[in-house]
Amino acid sequence: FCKSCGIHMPEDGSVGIKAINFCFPGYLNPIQNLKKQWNRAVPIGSLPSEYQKQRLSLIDYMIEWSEKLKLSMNSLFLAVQFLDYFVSQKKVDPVQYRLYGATCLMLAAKSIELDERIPFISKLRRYTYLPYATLDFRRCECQIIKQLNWNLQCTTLIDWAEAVISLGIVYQQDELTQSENI
Amino acid sequence: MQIVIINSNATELYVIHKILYQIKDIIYYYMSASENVRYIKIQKIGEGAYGIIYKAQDVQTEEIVALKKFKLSDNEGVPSCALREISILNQLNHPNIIKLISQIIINKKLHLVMNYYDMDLTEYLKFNHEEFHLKNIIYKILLAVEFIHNRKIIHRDLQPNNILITNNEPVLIDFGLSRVLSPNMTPGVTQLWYRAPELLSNCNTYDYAIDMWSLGCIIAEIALNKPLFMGSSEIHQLLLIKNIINGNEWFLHNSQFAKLNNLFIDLINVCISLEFLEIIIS
Repeated sequence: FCKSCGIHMPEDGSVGIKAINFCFPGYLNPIQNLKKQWNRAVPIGSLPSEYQKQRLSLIDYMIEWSEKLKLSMNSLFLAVQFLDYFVSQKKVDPVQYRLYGATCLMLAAKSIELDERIPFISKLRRYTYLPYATLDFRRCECQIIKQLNWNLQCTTLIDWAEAVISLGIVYQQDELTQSENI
Repeated sequence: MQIVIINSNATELYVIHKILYQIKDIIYYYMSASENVRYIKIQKIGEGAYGIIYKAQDVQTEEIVALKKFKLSDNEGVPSCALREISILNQLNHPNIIKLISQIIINKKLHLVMNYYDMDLTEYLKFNHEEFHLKNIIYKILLAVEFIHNRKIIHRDLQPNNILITNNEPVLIDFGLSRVLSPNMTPGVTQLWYRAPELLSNCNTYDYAIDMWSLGCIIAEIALNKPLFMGSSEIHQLLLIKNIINGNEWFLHNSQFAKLNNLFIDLINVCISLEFLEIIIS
């Protein structure tokens, strides 16, 4: 392992590649950190069938909103995880799924995004065109926070992917990277 | 005969249970109402950008606690700093880090309930103390910071005012600015005197090193009994820091460090790493 960026250097001489923004000092072990934080698994089987039908289109909406609001991928993943968890735990009127999706996006941004990019309720309403009042958003926010028990820093799949990539699991010889180079 | 008595007791119990069940909602209502007057504010002890801190007493246990009140804006929901502080404090369980007792809503404002300690490091240093107490405090602070860094969290507001002392043991408080490490962060954090050069130069890809810088300043302050760099503006602060670019020589020539051990100077030097500063200047 490289001491300054933590990349894995195998003995057979193949060279790993990694993105510059995932650097971390060699003494930190990101996988171990993630394991410590990995505390909530979403019980996928118990999602209501109506939600399972709508989930893909719902996520499409959320992707669109997060692009408009210039949020990062991590916030988006976190928001989807909040939504999955909330819907699996509590009964939600299918008509309101989009309201909950938007609120989850806001909560995720509040917990990990840069301060100036956080969409507050007024901005969120302007960008998502949802026909709900500010009060609805606030009520919905309270419900989600309570259900999550204030624990908003969870590890998402993208965190794992970033950690694995930063270990240099993709090598220069791999087909994937070669095709990208061309 | 006995059997009959037991039976009647059982039915009575059943009836009582049923009545209790019916008025359950009313009982819960009054319990939650009393929850609201559970804490009596005694006095205001501090005010920050995000809220006001009160000293308060728990009516039920007569314990003194600190209440942190957030200035909730009505339209924007729960403030992000409150969300972060609560979710981070819930994860941290360490003897040298403040414990969050609960979070409650009084008069529609969100309050955090925490343990109350009456002295911070600035006040503590106004009195003379045994050397081993000071050493112990430095060691415990370092342990606590290692603990939070291990969980991928940066404190971002380390300063003597945010370190409370109780029985010669330090307690870290105020996680309102802390967050989980990410590639992109706001540079405007930490009090000016303890702000690291990468923050002063408006860089937004910093990491745990900014906490270490603050720690170095705090450790030096514990040893010298006055802040290491007292800049009046961001530029002034950078100029003061620039003076120590040749760390060891500066420490040797500076008379106030003469009484200190070499190992101790090494410790400060490690915390106040100048790598970044050299990059800016070159």
